Order: sequence, then structure tokens, then C-alpha cells
Amino acid sequence: MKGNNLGEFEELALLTILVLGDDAYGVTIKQAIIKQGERQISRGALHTALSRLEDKGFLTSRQGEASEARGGRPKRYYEVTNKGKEALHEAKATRDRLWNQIPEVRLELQYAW
Amino acid sequence: MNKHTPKFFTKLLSWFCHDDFYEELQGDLEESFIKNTNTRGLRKARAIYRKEVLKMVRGSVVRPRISIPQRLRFSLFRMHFVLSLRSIRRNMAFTLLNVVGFGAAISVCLFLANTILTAYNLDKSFSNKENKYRISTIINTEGDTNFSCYSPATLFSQLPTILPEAKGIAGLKTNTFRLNFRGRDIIVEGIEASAEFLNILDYKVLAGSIETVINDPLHIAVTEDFVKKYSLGDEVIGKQLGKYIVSAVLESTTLKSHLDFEWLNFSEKLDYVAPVEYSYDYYFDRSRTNYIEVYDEADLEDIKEKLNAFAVQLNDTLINKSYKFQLENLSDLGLSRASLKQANLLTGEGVNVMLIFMLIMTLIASINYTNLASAKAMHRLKEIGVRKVVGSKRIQVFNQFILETCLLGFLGLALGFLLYFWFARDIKDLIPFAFDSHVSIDTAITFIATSIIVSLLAGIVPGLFLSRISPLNLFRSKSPGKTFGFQRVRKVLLVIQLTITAFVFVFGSLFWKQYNSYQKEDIGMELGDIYFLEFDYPDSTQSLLVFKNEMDKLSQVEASSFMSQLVPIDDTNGLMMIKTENSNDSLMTSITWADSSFFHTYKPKMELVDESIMRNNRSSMFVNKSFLMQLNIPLEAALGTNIRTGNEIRPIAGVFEQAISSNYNPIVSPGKQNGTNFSEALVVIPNLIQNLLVVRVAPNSNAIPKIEQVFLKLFPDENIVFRSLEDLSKSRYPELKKAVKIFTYVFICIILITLMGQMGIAIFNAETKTKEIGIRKVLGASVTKLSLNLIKGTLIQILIALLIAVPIATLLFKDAMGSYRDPIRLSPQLYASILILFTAIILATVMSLIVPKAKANPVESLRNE
Repeated sequence: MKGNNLGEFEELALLTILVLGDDAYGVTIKQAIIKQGERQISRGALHTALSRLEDKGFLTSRQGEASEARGGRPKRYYEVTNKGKEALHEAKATRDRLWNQIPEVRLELQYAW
Repeated sequence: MNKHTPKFFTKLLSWFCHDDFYEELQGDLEESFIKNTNTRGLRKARAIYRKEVLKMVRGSVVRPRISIPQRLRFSLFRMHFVLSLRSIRRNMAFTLLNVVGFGAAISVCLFLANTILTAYNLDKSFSNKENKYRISTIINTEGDTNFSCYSPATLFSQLPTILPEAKGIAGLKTNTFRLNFRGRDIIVEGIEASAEFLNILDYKVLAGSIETVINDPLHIAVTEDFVKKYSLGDEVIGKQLGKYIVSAVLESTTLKSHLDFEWLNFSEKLDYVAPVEYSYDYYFDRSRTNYIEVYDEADLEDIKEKLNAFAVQLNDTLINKSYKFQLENLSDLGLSRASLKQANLLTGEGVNVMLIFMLIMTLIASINYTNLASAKAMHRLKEIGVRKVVGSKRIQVFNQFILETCLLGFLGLALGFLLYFWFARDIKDLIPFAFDSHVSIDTAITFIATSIIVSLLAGIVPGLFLSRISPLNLFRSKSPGKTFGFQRVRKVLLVIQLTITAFVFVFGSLFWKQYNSYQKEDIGMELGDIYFLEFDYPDSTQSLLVFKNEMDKLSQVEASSFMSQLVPIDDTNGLMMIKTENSNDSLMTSITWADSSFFHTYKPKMELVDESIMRNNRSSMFVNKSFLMQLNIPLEAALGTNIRTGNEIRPIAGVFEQAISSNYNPIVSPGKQNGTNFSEALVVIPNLIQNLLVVRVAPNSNAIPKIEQVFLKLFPDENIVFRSLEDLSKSRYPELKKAVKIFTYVFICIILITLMGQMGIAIFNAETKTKEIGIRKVLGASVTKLSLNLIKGTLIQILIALLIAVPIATLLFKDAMGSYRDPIRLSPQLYASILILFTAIILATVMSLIVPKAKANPVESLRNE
């Protein structure tokens, strides 16, 4: 999505990065999203989302250490910026506001007999 | 890179993925791959990997197709340029060796190329050259063919009758003579020509009146080269030179045409009409060169037919010889194969040899250059590794090497041109061919393009290798497989270079030895104090006899003899069929005629002689041992045996110890199979008169001026030129001499370039093994042992090179010398000396660099390790 609004997947990605803390890099982010979000994503799709978030200023990244398991290639760690956190708070506030306006009866599950 | 990840998909990702994210994405994929392998198995992990790579094909991952901004590109180029200069400065020794070696090869190739171009450009500036031809002659003598620029004396006078359609006809005679000028003797290369000469070969007249020269045989035209050579000054017109007066100055002939003369005069003697049936070999060989100009619409085939119809008429009068005429276009004469005593001309075969030399030079220099560039690159593995780690891309590393080698290539090219122009002024005298030092635009562009190609090729090899190598591998102590392969390529190149050099060395040494053997051959007589005179035939015959008698009265003259050809120098001996009187044995043999003073003049070594036979017969014969052998005449029965030549029967009066007219054309001709089979005969006719007079003077007697006085008293209008037989014998084999001269220059250059390459590699080896040398010294190794260890590789390469080069060089030498007489014996001692010399030169060069390194203090060499 354009502009400063957060898409659903983008929000998921930011939240996952915050959950992972200092260990948020490509592999761990993807694994966490698969586990927490119960959905399959490809590394390429994740890269697109992370790049977009970085372009919007919601994320920063830094190069990490290399390891033999990675063929001597470095990791790239991601961190949510203040702007990103603000966007998350805003998205959560909007959701909470809408949730609070729904009458309880409308949220009950109804089954046909 | 993980060995198990699917290679194709990994390569695919590296191809399309943006460079900025490639490392992290590839790293993530590999980490996931290992995890999947451990949890789900290898096959599943590979499947997931492939799927992930394909899913990476998205806009945000794929390398963008936008070009780098111009500003960024230039700054990259500038950075590479600065790094190249830094690298060049840091490795001065390599740089110098590379640049000097390359530059030397370029300059030699420039000389060779310009020699070829000069030959091609001869005779191109004459007007209407498409319609101008020289009539050359193919002389067939019993299966042996000689292509000569001369044509029989009778042809010139008959040409107006044979070819009425010719627009112009000119004949000339070369005339080398001696002139006393400002107190010293100079030899002048002159031409005596018929009146229409300058209509056909229209040299520019720079000063004076050419009509005066044409109309008066005592007036001459000199070339501007002659004026400069002898500093005749601006007021040369009217100057007296001997009995001649300079009346015109012509443009320089040296680089203009195949005729290289210094002065020209016109002579009505050329209009002498000799009878058609006159077939005397001597007269033919000192005859004319004829040129014709035809009209645009002329039928060349018709002209050729008419000429050859005349040849048939001439051939009917000849014994065992036939002529055929050939028209050679004027613009092709510079490279004509027709032998010509004028000028130093490069024939078509000579051009091929020059081109081969250029190819060898370029190959040697290119291999050198590539090897040294690669060696230098191997020195910088760690530098490349660091650059790759901090983000240098493959193409950037590759471009760096290309730029460096191109920079060195241009430096080498500039040095090559500089060397060329520096030496071009003076080397003209050393190069035995016509040579114009001017470099045309086309030539310059060709050399620049060649230099670029060589530089690119030299940079591609290390550039490709080092740009692809992984930074991890570069820091590993043990070289991986690919580095080993690269080292092997370099070693192969070194062996190729050494093999080519060894081939040139061995071939050149054998060739030089052969040439030397001809120079040193014993010709069975002493030539010092023998001079000769030539006269125009046949007008002055009786006067010559008077002159000889007067000359013989001088105390300074020991003896003189009339002869039919100049023994042992002349390269066109007559051949005749010889038979014994009573048997059918016959032999084609070389034959010379002389008067009875021959023996006092030449003093040849005799095996057998009976002077009474000579005295008691109208004419007699003297032969060599091969002659007897081939006619099955035993030596002890030789004297008195009658021999038939045509209708004449003559007894053998003597046997020479060895051949007297060894025919200093080393190419054998019939009757002279090789040195041992060479048969010849000398017919002695006591009162023979010929137009060649050979004189033996007393040593240190100052006889020449006295003889000149006698001559001028009898022939006041003639010019006398004495030439020394000894001097002439020293300048025999001019063709071989030219070949040896050129070969020597190229040979030395090739050896030097190879030595430079060896020096570079020796320096590299010593520097990369500094630590090893230091440790070995600490452990007690001697300088000798260390040095031997370091040159082990070089020795093996030399051995391989010689094993390949020696048989090839021997085969080619035998093939080249196939038609030469007296080929040298290819003994083991000869080969041993050549091989030892070659090995010694290479090893001495390498050792001179290695021994100081081996002697270095290990404390110093290990200090920084």
C-alpha cells in the first residue's frame, strides 16, 4: 500500500520484528511469521515487504555477522523505528476504536439449525 | 557456498538478483537450506530452495535495468586509473620488464613492417605504370630454372621489330665503376640507358638539362642522394667528375623504385645490334634490362606470344639452354623474384619470412606480457580478497585488471614508437633492404589495435580468474583447485615461450654455422693481390691484347689472364655436355675458358699436371676429381685422356686438387649436385682473348696507378675500373648475408624479450618465496642449495622446450638447406654446444636475480612475516 498506512502483512512483519528484538533477520522473521501468523510466505515476498517498510521509514537495517552456515555471507538485522512504532500504535488505536463500537450481540457466533 | 545447494538456481539468483541484496538473500537461503536439510532431509531442502529462488523473481529483487549515472561511472574509472598507477609504481621491476619487453617487440615489428611496406610501395609513383613492363627472362638449363631480370643482348635491338605496337622501349645496363674523387676512390652505382629510359621510368629532374645528358654520353645526371652523400653542394651542375660533367640532378631513387642508382648516362652503345645467333653466356649475363610501355588497348597476350616466338628463334641457336620471356608490371618489380644486382630488394619470399618473424615476435612478447601480468596479479590475492569483502563487484575487479594491462600496453606502445624513431635515422645503413622510416596512419592504427588486443588478452586471463574467486578462498593458506589450474596455464605459457625461443635459437645457430662454413671454405687458391677488369665486348678485342701485352711488361704485374668468367666468384658459369672420346659416358659440366697464363695468375693447387700436353696442343683441358669420377676415368689414367666438347676434342692436361669455380651461389645447379659431386672443366686456349682480364700484382707494389697509365694511353676515352677479387669474394652470398643480418637482429630481440620474461618470473618466484627462503636458511640450507631449488622449475621448462624445439628446428633446417650445397654436418657436438649455450644464457639471467635473494639475511626477510 502506498503512503504511510500499514498494510496487514506489513503490520504483521513489524510486530514480528518487535517480538524478535535483536534477533530479527530474514530467516527468523520468516519463521516467526509462519509460526505466529500461521501462513506460508516466501523469502521474496518478505523481502518486498521489508524493503517497502524501509522505504517508508518504518524500519532500519544493519549488516550483521557472517557465518559458515550462511556461506560466509552476513545477516541483515532489522529494527523498527519510532515512526514505525507510531504507525503500529495508530493502527492498533484504529482497530481498538472500531472493535469497541461493535455491540456484543453482533460478535456472537450464530449457527443455523 | 554450500556444496549441496542446487548450483543452477544459485547461479540464476546471482544473475538476476540486485547486487545490494544478493549477499543477505543468498545467506538466508543457505541458512534455511541447512535447517531444512536437518529437519526434512536433503531432497526436500533442495526442492524448497528451488521454489524460493523462483519466488524471488519479483520487482523488488531483480537487478534494475537502469544504467549507472554518468557521474558515478567516470568516478569509478578514475578510481581504477588511480589504483592502476599505484600498482604500477609499487611493482616497478615488473612494470619495467613488461613495458621494455613489449616496447622492444613493437619497435622491431615496426622495422619489419616498414621494410615490407617500403618494398610494396616501390615503383608506385611512376606515371601510367599499369602499361609499363619489364621483360624478364626464364632461363632453363637442363631442368634448372633461373628467373632473371636481364634479357639477351639481342632482344633490345630487335624489340622495335618484334613489337611495333610498343609505345616506348628502353634498355639499360648497370655500370658499377670506380672513380677517384677528392683524392679517394669511390665506387659509383651507375646506369647506362637508352634514350627513352626517362620516358618510361619518369624520375623527376630536379635541376639542369636532361636533354644535354641524353644527347652527350659524357654528360651525366646524378641523384640528389649522390649530391648529399659526397657534399657536392648546390652548384653541382657543370661539375667535372672524372671525364664526365654533371648536367642534371634527379630525385632520389632509393625509396622510389627497384632501381637504386646514383648516376645515369645515356649511351648509344646500347643501340648495338648483336646478331641473333650470338649465344655467348658471358655476353648475355652482362647484358641489358629492357622495359616497354604499351598503349591502353594493347593485347598483352599477343605481346607475350611475339616475345616468345623470338625466344624460340633464339633457343634454336643455344645448346642445352632455352629462354622464355615474361612481362612483369612495373609496380610489381619491387617484390619480383627475378634476380637483380641493383638495389637491395625484398622478394615475395622475403616478405613471407619477415611476416613470420613479426608473428614470432608478437607471440613471444604477448606471452611474456600475459605471464608477467598474471604473476603480478597472483601477488595481489589478498588485496582482491579485501576489496571483494568490502563490496567490490566482479566486473569492477575485472575492469581493474583490464585497465592496468591496457595502461602498460600503451606505455609499451609509446616506448616502441620512441625506440623506432630513435633508431630509424641510423639503422637504415644496417638494414640490408630499401627502408622508408616514415610511419603511415594505417600502420600506426594497426599497431595501436594490436597493442590493445594484446593488452586485453593479457588482462582477461588474470581478470577473469581473480574476479570469480571467492574472498574466503583468497585468504585460505592452501590454494584451491582453480588457483592450481591458473598456475598451470602460466607454466604452459612459459614453456611455449621458451620453446619458440629455443627453436629460433637452434635454427639460427645452425643457419649461422652453415653461412660461416661458406664464408670459411677453402677455395683452393690465394686471391690476395688479384684484380680484374671488364670491357665491353666485342669491339675492343684486339686492343685488349695490346693492353695485356703492355701491362705484362710492368714489373709490378706478375701475371694476367683472359677468362670467360670470373673464377671463383661468378654465379653464372657456362654448362656444356662433355663426353669421353671413346665411350658414351657423358656429363653436363661447368666450363670456363682461359688463356695459358691462368696458372700463373691464380696459382691453383694441382693434383696432377703435365705442362707439355698444354704446350703441344691447340687447346687442352684441366678438370677436377669429381669430373674424372663421374666419367669413370681413373686418376692415374687422366692425363692425356681426350674429351669431346661439341666438335672439339681436347686432352686432359691437369687435375685440380679441388673445384676452382665453386659457384658462389650456394643453391646447387645441374652438374654441381653438391660439393663432392661438383664437376668442372677449364679449357685452356693459349691465345684466348676475352673481355674479362684478371691480373695478379706483386704484393705492396702500388701497381694499380701504373696499370691505369698504360690503359689510359691506349684507351683515353674509356673508364678503367679495377676491382679486387679478394674484396669481391668477401661479399659473396649477398642473399644469404641479408638473411643472416635480418635474422640476427630478430634473433637477438627474441632472446632479450624471453630473458626479460624469465627475469620477471624469477623475481616473482623469489619474492613469493621470501618466507620459505628465510626459514630454509635458518635451518641451515646453503646458498647453492637454495638457488638450485629456486631454478628447478626453470630447468624443467628449458628441458621440455628443447625436447620439442630441437627436432622441429632440425627438420626445418634440413628442409631449408635442401638445395644448398655442402650442408653442415649435424653432429652431437654441434648440438651439445648450442644447447649448453642456450641453457647457460637462460640460467645465468635467472641466477643473477635469484642468488642475491638466496644470500639475503633471513632476519630481514622474515622480519615482516
